[in-house]
Amino acid sequence: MCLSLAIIASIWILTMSEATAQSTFPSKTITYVIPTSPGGGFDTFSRMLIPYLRKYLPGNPNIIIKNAPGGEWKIGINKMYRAKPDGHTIGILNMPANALPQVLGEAKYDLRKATWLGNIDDVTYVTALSLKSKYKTLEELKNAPMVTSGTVGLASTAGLGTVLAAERMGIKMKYIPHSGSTEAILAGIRGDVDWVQYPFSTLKKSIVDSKDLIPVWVYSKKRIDQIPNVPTIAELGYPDLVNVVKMLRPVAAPPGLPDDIRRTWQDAFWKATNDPEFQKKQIAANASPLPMKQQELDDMVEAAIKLLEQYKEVILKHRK
Amino acid sequence: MKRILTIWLTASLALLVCAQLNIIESRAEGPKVEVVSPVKMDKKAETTIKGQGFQPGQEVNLLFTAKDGIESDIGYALDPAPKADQSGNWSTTWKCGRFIARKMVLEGKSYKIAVTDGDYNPIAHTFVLFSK
Repeated sequence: MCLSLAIIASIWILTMSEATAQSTFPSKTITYVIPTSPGGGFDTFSRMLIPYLRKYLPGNPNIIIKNAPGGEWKIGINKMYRAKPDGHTIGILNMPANALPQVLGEAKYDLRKATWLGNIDDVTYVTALSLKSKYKTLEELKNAPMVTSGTVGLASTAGLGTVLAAERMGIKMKYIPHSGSTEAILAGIRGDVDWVQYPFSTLKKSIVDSKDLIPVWVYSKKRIDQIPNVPTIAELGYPDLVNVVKMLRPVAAPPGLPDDIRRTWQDAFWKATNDPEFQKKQIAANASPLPMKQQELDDMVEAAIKLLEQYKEVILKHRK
Repeated sequence: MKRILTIWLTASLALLVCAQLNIIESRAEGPKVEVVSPVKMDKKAETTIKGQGFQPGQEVNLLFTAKDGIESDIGYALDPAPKADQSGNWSTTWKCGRFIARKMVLEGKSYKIAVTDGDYNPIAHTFVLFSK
Protein backbone atom coordinates (compact mmCIF):
# COMPACT_ATOMS: atom_id res chain seq x y z
CA MET A 1 0.00 0.00 0.00
CA CYS A 2 2.76 2.39 1.08
CA LEU A 3 4.82 1.45 -1.97
CA SER A 4 1.88 2.10 -4.31
CA LEU A 5 1.30 5.47 -2.75
CA ALA A 6 4.99 6.33 -3.07
CA ILE A 7 4.99 5.38 -6.78
CA ILE A 8 1.84 7.40 -7.46
CA ALA A 9 3.33 10.36 -5.59
CA SER A 10 6.60 10.10 -7.55
CA ILE A 11 4.75 10.03 -10.88
CA TRP A 12 2.65 12.98 -9.81
CA ILE A 13 5.75 14.97 -8.75
CA LEU A 14 7.52 14.19 -12.05
CA THR A 15 4.45 15.18 -14.07
CA MET A 16 4.04 18.37 -12.12
CA SER A 17 7.72 19.32 -12.41
CA GLU A 18 7.57 18.90 -16.19
CA ALA A 19 4.40 20.95 -16.35
CA THR A 20 6.07 23.61 -14.22
CA ALA A 21 9.10 23.73 -16.56
CA GLN A 22 6.78 24.26 -19.50
CA SER A 23 4.72 26.88 -17.76
CA THR A 24 7.73 28.80 -16.44
CA PHE A 25 9.20 29.63 -19.86
CA PRO A 26 9.43 32.44 -20.53
CA SER A 27 9.39 33.73 -16.98
CA LYS A 28 11.61 36.78 -17.33
CA THR A 29 13.28 39.05 -19.89
CA ILE A 30 15.08 37.15 -22.66
CA THR A 31 18.63 38.16 -23.55
CA TYR A 32 19.56 38.02 -27.25
CA VAL A 33 23.37 38.15 -27.53
CA ILE A 34 24.91 39.74 -30.63
CA PRO A 35 28.71 39.36 -30.83
CA THR A 36 29.05 42.59 -32.86
CA SER A 37 28.41 46.31 -32.31
CA PRO A 38 25.02 47.95 -32.90
CA GLY A 39 24.04 48.89 -36.45
CA GLY A 40 25.85 46.15 -38.40
CA GLY A 41 24.07 43.44 -40.39
CA PHE A 42 23.75 40.98 -37.51
CA ASP A 43 22.37 43.67 -35.20
CA THR A 44 20.06 45.13 -37.84
CA PHE A 45 18.42 41.84 -38.85
CA SER A 46 18.14 40.75 -35.20
CA ARG A 47 16.37 43.99 -34.33
CA MET A 48 14.07 43.39 -37.28
CA LEU A 49 13.31 39.85 -36.07
CA ILE A 50 12.73 40.50 -32.35
CA PRO A 51 9.13 41.84 -32.61
CA TYR A 52 8.18 38.67 -34.53
CA LEU A 53 9.86 36.37 -32.00
CA ARG A 54 7.89 38.14 -29.28
CA LYS A 55 4.71 37.71 -31.32
CA TYR A 56 5.09 33.92 -31.55
CA LEU A 57 6.56 33.14 -28.11
CA PRO A 58 4.03 32.45 -25.34
CA GLY A 59 3.21 35.52 -23.29
CA ASN A 60 4.80 38.06 -25.68
CA PRO A 61 7.97 38.27 -23.52
CA ASN A 62 10.38 41.17 -23.42
CA ILE A 63 13.56 40.52 -25.43
CA ILE A 64 16.59 42.76 -25.04
CA ILE A 65 19.74 42.83 -27.14
CA LYS A 66 23.11 42.41 -25.51
CA ASN A 67 25.84 43.54 -27.89
CA ALA A 68 29.12 41.85 -26.95
CA PRO A 69 31.65 42.81 -29.62
CA GLY A 70 35.32 41.84 -29.63
CA GLY A 71 37.51 38.76 -29.49
CA GLU A 72 36.67 37.85 -33.10
CA TRP A 73 33.12 36.91 -32.02
CA LYS A 74 34.32 34.61 -29.22
CA ILE A 75 33.21 36.96 -26.39
CA GLY A 76 29.60 37.02 -27.54
CA ILE A 77 29.44 33.33 -28.43
CA ASN A 78 30.82 32.37 -25.01
CA LYS A 79 28.23 34.58 -23.28
CA MET A 80 25.48 32.65 -25.04
CA TYR A 81 27.13 29.22 -24.78
CA ARG A 82 27.89 29.48 -21.04
CA ALA A 83 24.52 30.95 -20.01
CA LYS A 84 22.04 28.93 -17.98
CA PRO A 85 20.17 26.66 -20.45
CA ASP A 86 16.69 27.81 -19.47
CA GLY A 87 15.69 29.47 -22.74
CA HIS A 88 16.25 33.01 -21.48
CA THR A 89 19.56 33.51 -23.30
CA ILE A 90 20.04 33.01 -27.03
CA GLY A 91 22.62 34.36 -29.48
CA ILE A 92 23.17 34.94 -33.17
CA LEU A 93 26.14 33.39 -34.98
CA ASN A 94 28.00 33.84 -38.23
CA MET A 95 28.36 30.56 -40.08
CA PRO A 96 30.59 29.06 -41.33
CA ALA A 97 33.10 31.65 -39.99
CA ASN A 98 32.33 30.97 -36.31
CA ALA A 99 33.33 27.35 -36.76
CA LEU A 100 36.90 28.44 -37.51
CA PRO A 101 38.12 28.87 -33.89
CA GLN A 102 36.71 25.42 -33.12
CA VAL A 103 38.49 23.83 -36.10
CA LEU A 104 41.74 25.54 -35.08
CA GLY A 105 41.34 24.40 -31.46
CA GLU A 106 41.02 27.97 -30.18
CA ALA A 107 37.37 27.90 -29.06
CA LYS A 108 35.92 27.24 -25.64
CA TYR A 109 32.72 26.09 -27.31
CA ASP A 110 31.57 23.15 -29.41
CA LEU A 111 29.03 24.28 -31.99
CA ARG A 112 27.82 20.70 -32.42
CA LYS A 113 26.57 20.82 -28.81
CA ALA A 114 24.78 24.18 -29.01
CA THR A 115 20.98 24.11 -29.29
CA TRP A 116 20.14 25.49 -32.73
CA LEU A 117 16.84 27.34 -32.93
CA GLY A 118 16.59 28.68 -36.47
CA ASN A 119 18.19 30.70 -39.23
CA ILE A 120 17.43 34.21 -40.45
CA ASP A 121 18.89 34.47 -43.93
CA ASP A 122 21.43 33.41 -46.54
CA VAL A 123 23.86 36.14 -47.50
CA THR A 124 25.14 36.23 -51.08
CA TYR A 125 28.66 37.53 -51.64
CA VAL A 126 29.99 39.47 -54.61
CA THR A 127 33.57 40.05 -55.74
CA ALA A 128 34.17 43.56 -57.05
CA LEU A 129 37.29 45.15 -58.54
CA SER A 130 38.54 48.67 -58.21
CA LEU A 131 38.01 50.91 -61.25
CA LYS A 132 41.71 51.76 -60.85
CA SER A 133 42.87 48.14 -60.82
CA LYS A 134 44.95 46.84 -63.74
CA TYR A 135 42.89 43.64 -63.67
CA LYS A 136 39.40 43.39 -65.10
CA THR A 137 38.74 39.67 -65.62
CA LEU A 138 39.22 36.36 -63.86
CA GLU A 139 41.94 35.35 -66.33
CA GLU A 140 43.87 38.57 -65.67
CA LEU A 141 43.53 38.00 -61.93
CA LYS A 142 44.83 34.43 -62.27
CA ASN A 143 47.84 35.61 -64.28
CA ALA A 144 48.65 38.58 -62.05
CA PRO A 145 51.90 38.44 -60.03
CA MET A 146 50.03 39.71 -56.97
CA VAL A 147 46.46 40.91 -56.37
CA THR A 148 45.70 43.03 -53.29
CA SER A 149 42.52 42.55 -51.30
CA GLY A 150 40.89 44.73 -48.65
CA THR A 151 39.69 42.54 -45.77
CA VAL A 152 38.86 42.76 -42.10
CA GLY A 153 40.52 39.49 -41.14
CA LEU A 154 39.88 35.78 -41.22
CA ALA A 155 37.26 35.91 -38.47
CA SER A 156 34.84 37.47 -40.95
CA THR A 157 33.12 35.49 -43.68
CA ALA A 158 34.29 38.12 -46.19
CA GLY A 159 37.94 37.65 -45.21
CA LEU A 160 37.74 33.89 -44.89
CA GLY A 161 35.83 33.60 -48.16
CA THR A 162 38.40 35.73 -49.98
CA VAL A 163 41.25 33.51 -48.79
CA LEU A 164 39.45 30.30 -49.76
CA ALA A 165 38.25 31.59 -53.15
CA ALA A 166 41.69 32.93 -54.12
CA GLU A 167 43.32 29.66 -53.11
CA ARG A 168 40.79 27.59 -55.06
CA MET A 169 41.13 29.74 -58.22
CA GLY A 170 44.91 29.95 -58.03
CA ILE A 171 45.07 33.72 -57.54
CA LYS A 172 48.15 35.02 -55.73
CA MET A 173 46.78 37.45 -53.21
CA LYS A 174 48.06 39.85 -50.58
CA TYR A 175 45.59 40.70 -47.82
CA ILE A 176 45.51 44.31 -46.65
CA PRO A 177 43.76 44.45 -43.26
CA HIS A 178 41.17 47.18 -42.57
CA SER A 179 39.24 48.07 -39.44
CA GLY A 180 35.85 47.50 -41.06
CA SER A 181 34.03 46.75 -44.30
CA THR A 182 33.39 50.45 -44.95
CA GLU A 183 37.12 51.18 -44.80
CA ALA A 184 37.98 48.19 -47.00
CA ILE A 185 35.42 49.21 -49.64
CA LEU A 186 36.72 52.79 -49.60
CA ALA A 187 40.22 51.39 -50.18
CA GLY A 188 38.84 49.64 -53.26
CA ILE A 189 37.18 52.82 -54.52
CA ARG A 190 40.40 54.80 -53.99
CA GLY A 191 42.41 52.11 -55.77
CA ASP A 192 44.50 51.18 -52.72
CA VAL A 193 43.44 47.55 -53.25
CA ASP A 194 42.36 45.62 -56.36
CA TRP A 195 39.70 43.35 -54.88
CA VAL A 196 36.92 43.53 -52.32
CA GLN A 197 34.48 40.75 -51.51
CA TYR A 198 31.39 41.50 -49.44
CA PRO A 199 27.67 40.72 -49.23
CA PHE A 200 25.62 42.13 -52.10
CA SER A 201 23.65 44.26 -49.62
CA THR A 202 26.92 45.83 -48.40
CA LEU A 203 28.31 46.44 -51.90
CA LYS A 204 25.05 47.45 -53.60
CA LYS A 205 25.65 51.18 -53.17
CA SER A 206 29.12 50.96 -54.76
CA ILE A 207 28.33 48.53 -57.58
CA VAL A 208 24.73 49.40 -58.52
CA ASP A 209 24.07 52.97 -57.42
CA SER A 210 27.36 54.86 -57.80
CA LYS A 211 29.24 52.25 -59.88
CA ASP A 212 32.50 53.03 -58.04
CA LEU A 213 33.47 49.34 -58.17
CA ILE A 214 33.09 46.72 -60.91
CA PRO A 215 31.24 43.55 -59.86
CA VAL A 216 32.92 40.54 -61.53
CA TRP A 217 31.05 37.52 -60.12
CA VAL A 218 28.52 36.48 -57.52
CA TYR A 219 28.74 33.45 -55.22
CA SER A 220 25.31 31.97 -55.89
CA LYS A 221 23.63 29.44 -58.12
CA LYS A 222 21.67 32.10 -59.99
CA ARG A 223 22.43 35.66 -61.01
CA ILE A 224 21.28 38.62 -58.94
CA ASP A 225 18.38 40.56 -60.51
CA GLN A 226 19.93 43.98 -59.85
CA ILE A 227 23.18 43.02 -61.64
CA PRO A 228 21.94 40.64 -64.37
CA ASN A 229 25.11 40.88 -66.49
CA VAL A 230 27.37 39.65 -63.71
CA PRO A 231 28.04 35.88 -63.96
CA THR A 232 27.85 33.44 -61.08
CA ILE A 233 31.00 31.76 -59.85
CA ALA A 234 29.45 28.47 -61.03
CA GLU A 235 29.24 29.83 -64.58
CA LEU A 236 32.95 30.63 -64.35
CA GLY A 237 33.76 27.00 -63.55
CA TYR A 238 33.82 26.95 -59.74
CA PRO A 239 30.38 25.69 -58.61
CA ASP A 240 31.88 24.33 -55.37
CA LEU A 241 32.66 27.87 -54.21
CA VAL A 242 28.93 28.64 -53.92
CA ASN A 243 28.90 26.56 -50.74
CA VAL A 244 32.26 27.88 -49.54
CA VAL A 245 31.75 31.64 -49.85
CA LYS A 246 28.44 32.22 -48.11
CA MET A 247 27.13 33.34 -44.81
CA LEU A 248 24.20 32.21 -42.73
CA ARG A 249 22.81 33.96 -39.66
CA PRO A 250 21.59 31.15 -37.38
CA VAL A 251 20.53 31.61 -33.77
CA ALA A 252 21.39 29.20 -30.96
CA ALA A 253 20.85 28.62 -27.26
CA PRO A 254 23.29 26.99 -24.81
CA PRO A 255 23.80 23.21 -24.84
CA GLY A 256 21.37 21.24 -22.72
CA LEU A 257 18.23 23.28 -23.35
CA PRO A 258 15.28 21.18 -22.10
CA ASP A 259 13.31 19.61 -24.97
CA ASP A 260 10.03 21.39 -24.21
CA ILE A 261 11.70 24.80 -24.21
CA ARG A 262 13.69 23.93 -27.36
CA ARG A 263 10.45 23.00 -29.13
CA THR A 264 8.79 26.23 -28.00
CA TRP A 265 11.73 28.26 -29.31
CA GLN A 266 12.05 26.38 -32.61
CA ASP A 267 8.32 26.71 -33.26
CA ALA A 268 8.35 30.45 -32.53
CA PHE A 269 11.51 30.94 -34.60
CA TRP A 270 10.08 29.07 -37.58
CA LYS A 271 6.85 31.09 -37.47
CA ALA A 272 8.72 34.38 -37.02
CA THR A 273 11.16 33.78 -39.90
CA ASN A 274 8.29 32.69 -42.15
CA ASP A 275 6.10 35.65 -41.24
CA PRO A 276 5.30 37.37 -44.59
CA GLU A 277 5.65 40.83 -43.05
CA PHE A 278 9.12 39.99 -41.67
CA GLN A 279 10.24 38.46 -44.97
CA LYS A 280 9.02 41.55 -46.83
CA LYS A 281 11.22 43.69 -44.59
CA GLN A 282 14.20 41.36 -45.16
CA ILE A 283 13.83 41.50 -48.95
CA ALA A 284 13.50 45.29 -48.84
CA ALA A 285 16.87 45.30 -47.03
CA ASN A 286 18.41 43.15 -49.83
CA ALA A 287 18.45 40.00 -47.69
CA SER A 288 17.46 36.49 -48.79
CA PRO A 289 15.22 34.86 -46.16
CA LEU A 290 16.22 31.28 -45.36
CA PRO A 291 14.28 29.76 -42.45
CA MET A 292 15.74 26.42 -41.34
CA LYS A 293 14.56 23.46 -39.29
CA GLN A 294 16.45 21.25 -36.82
CA GLN A 295 17.92 18.77 -39.32
CA GLU A 296 19.01 21.51 -41.74
CA LEU A 297 20.64 23.41 -38.86
CA ASP A 298 22.51 20.33 -37.67
CA ASP A 299 23.63 19.59 -41.24
CA MET A 300 24.73 23.22 -41.67
CA VAL A 301 26.95 23.07 -38.56
CA GLU A 302 28.48 19.75 -39.61
CA ALA A 303 29.11 21.03 -43.16
CA ALA A 304 30.76 24.23 -41.85
CA ILE A 305 33.13 22.28 -39.60
CA LYS A 306 34.02 19.81 -42.37
CA LEU A 307 34.55 22.61 -44.90
CA LEU A 308 36.96 24.48 -42.66
CA GLU A 309 38.79 21.30 -41.66
CA GLN A 310 39.35 20.74 -45.39
CA TYR A 311 40.93 24.20 -45.74
CA LYS A 312 42.68 24.22 -42.35
CA GLU A 313 46.24 24.24 -43.74
CA VAL A 314 45.45 27.08 -46.15
CA ILE A 315 43.92 29.14 -43.36
CA LEU A 316 46.87 28.51 -41.04
CA LYS A 317 49.26 29.58 -43.80
CA HIS A 318 47.48 32.92 -44.17
CA ARG A 319 47.27 33.55 -40.43
CA LYS A 320 51.05 33.54 -40.10
CA MET B 1 -18.13 48.31 22.15
CA LYS B 2 -18.99 50.82 19.43
CA ARG B 3 -16.42 53.24 20.87
CA ILE B 4 -13.68 50.61 20.82
CA LEU B 5 -14.51 49.79 17.23
CA THR B 6 -14.36 53.48 16.25
CA ILE B 7 -10.96 53.89 17.94
CA TRP B 8 -9.66 50.73 16.30
CA LEU B 9 -10.87 51.86 12.85
CA THR B 10 -9.40 55.36 13.29
CA ALA B 11 -6.06 53.93 14.38
CA SER B 12 -6.04 51.52 11.43
CA LEU B 13 -6.84 54.33 9.02
CA ALA B 14 -4.07 56.49 10.51
CA LEU B 15 -1.60 53.63 10.17
CA LEU B 16 -2.62 53.06 6.57
CA VAL B 17 -2.19 56.76 5.71
CA CYS B 18 1.26 56.79 7.37
CA ALA B 19 2.29 53.68 5.46
CA GLN B 20 1.18 55.21 2.15
CA LEU B 21 3.06 58.43 2.93
CA ASN B 22 6.17 56.40 3.71
CA ILE B 23 5.86 54.53 0.41
CA ILE B 24 5.48 57.80 -1.49
CA GLU B 25 8.43 59.28 0.40
CA SER B 26 10.62 56.23 -0.18
CA ARG B 27 9.71 56.28 -3.89
CA ALA B 28 10.65 59.92 -4.09
CA GLU B 29 13.96 59.07 -2.43
CA GLY B 30 14.47 55.91 -4.44
CA PRO B 31 17.19 55.31 -7.03
CA LYS B 32 17.55 58.04 -9.59
CA VAL B 33 19.48 58.29 -12.83
CA GLU B 34 20.48 61.31 -14.87
CA VAL B 35 22.35 61.80 -18.12
CA VAL B 36 24.29 64.76 -19.50
CA SER B 37 21.99 65.82 -22.32
CA PRO B 38 21.65 66.93 -25.10
CA VAL B 39 24.29 64.81 -26.82
CA LYS B 40 25.88 66.13 -30.01
CA MET B 41 25.12 64.19 -33.19
CA ASP B 42 28.77 63.22 -33.57
CA LYS B 43 30.16 59.81 -34.57
CA LYS B 44 32.57 59.98 -31.62
CA ALA B 45 30.00 61.28 -29.13
CA GLU B 46 30.03 60.22 -25.52
CA THR B 47 28.09 61.29 -22.46
CA THR B 48 28.03 60.78 -18.71
CA ILE B 49 25.32 58.81 -16.94
CA LYS B 50 25.03 59.05 -13.14
CA GLY B 51 22.98 57.21 -10.56
CA GLN B 52 22.18 57.86 -6.91
CA GLY B 53 20.19 56.19 -4.18
CA PHE B 54 21.29 52.66 -5.11
CA GLN B 55 22.33 49.91 -2.70
CA PRO B 56 26.05 50.21 -1.87
CA GLY B 57 27.97 47.83 -4.12
CA GLN B 58 24.95 47.28 -6.39
CA GLU B 59 25.81 46.46 -10.00
CA VAL B 60 23.30 47.64 -12.58
CA ASN B 61 22.64 47.30 -16.31
CA LEU B 62 21.76 50.18 -18.58
CA LEU B 63 19.28 49.66 -21.41
CA PHE B 64 18.99 52.10 -24.30
CA THR B 65 15.91 52.18 -26.52
CA ALA B 66 16.82 53.23 -30.07
CA LYS B 67 14.42 54.61 -32.70
CA ASP B 68 13.21 51.09 -33.62
CA GLY B 69 11.87 50.65 -30.07
CA ILE B 70 14.21 47.73 -29.31
CA GLU B 71 16.03 47.84 -25.96
CA SER B 72 19.71 47.00 -25.88
CA ASP B 73 22.15 46.52 -23.03
CA ILE B 74 24.86 49.15 -23.59
CA GLY B 75 27.26 47.66 -21.04
CA TYR B 76 29.95 47.01 -23.68
CA ALA B 77 30.20 50.76 -24.34
CA LEU B 78 30.31 51.91 -20.70
CA ASP B 79 33.44 52.77 -18.81
CA PRO B 80 33.58 51.96 -15.96
CA ALA B 81 30.89 49.32 -15.51
CA PRO B 82 28.22 50.98 -13.34
CA LYS B 83 28.52 49.89 -9.69
CA ALA B 84 27.28 51.90 -6.73
CA ASP B 85 29.87 53.14 -4.24
CA GLN B 86 29.41 53.09 -0.45
CA SER B 87 27.07 56.08 -0.71
CA GLY B 88 24.95 54.39 -3.38
CA ASN B 89 26.23 56.59 -6.22
CA TRP B 90 27.75 55.60 -9.54
CA SER B 91 28.92 57.36 -12.68
CA THR B 92 29.92 56.04 -16.08
CA THR B 93 30.83 57.32 -19.55
CA TRP B 94 28.82 55.99 -22.47
CA LYS B 95 30.41 55.98 -25.93
CA CYS B 96 27.18 56.41 -27.89
CA GLY B 97 28.67 57.46 -31.25
CA ARG B 98 27.88 54.13 -32.88
CA PHE B 99 24.12 54.72 -32.53
CA ILE B 100 24.59 58.11 -34.21
CA ALA B 101 26.91 56.85 -36.98
CA ARG B 102 24.51 54.04 -37.88
CA LYS B 103 21.49 56.41 -37.84
CA MET B 104 19.80 54.53 -35.01
CA VAL B 105 18.76 57.81 -33.35
CA LEU B 106 17.28 60.96 -34.85
CA GLU B 107 18.32 64.54 -34.26
CA GLY B 108 15.96 66.46 -31.96
CA LYS B 109 14.47 63.31 -30.45
CA SER B 110 14.72 61.94 -26.90
CA TYR B 111 15.40 58.28 -26.15
CA LYS B 112 14.97 56.25 -22.97
CA ILE B 113 17.83 55.00 -20.81
CA ALA B 114 16.67 52.50 -18.19
CA VAL B 115 18.61 51.26 -15.18
CA THR B 116 17.88 47.63 -14.33
CA ASP B 117 19.08 44.88 -12.05
CA GLY B 118 20.92 41.79 -13.33
CA ASP B 119 17.66 40.21 -14.57
CA TYR B 120 16.71 43.40 -16.42
CA ASN B 121 14.00 44.38 -13.94
CA PRO B 122 13.61 48.18 -14.17
CA ILE B 123 14.85 50.35 -11.30
CA ALA B 124 14.88 53.88 -12.73
CA HIS B 125 14.94 55.66 -16.06
CA THR B 126 15.72 58.92 -17.79
CA PHE B 127 15.79 60.33 -21.33
CA VAL B 128 18.62 61.53 -23.49
CA LEU B 129 18.21 64.09 -26.27
CA PHE B 130 20.35 64.06 -29.42
CA SER B 131 20.88 67.42 -31.06
CA LYS B 132 23.22 69.34 -33.41
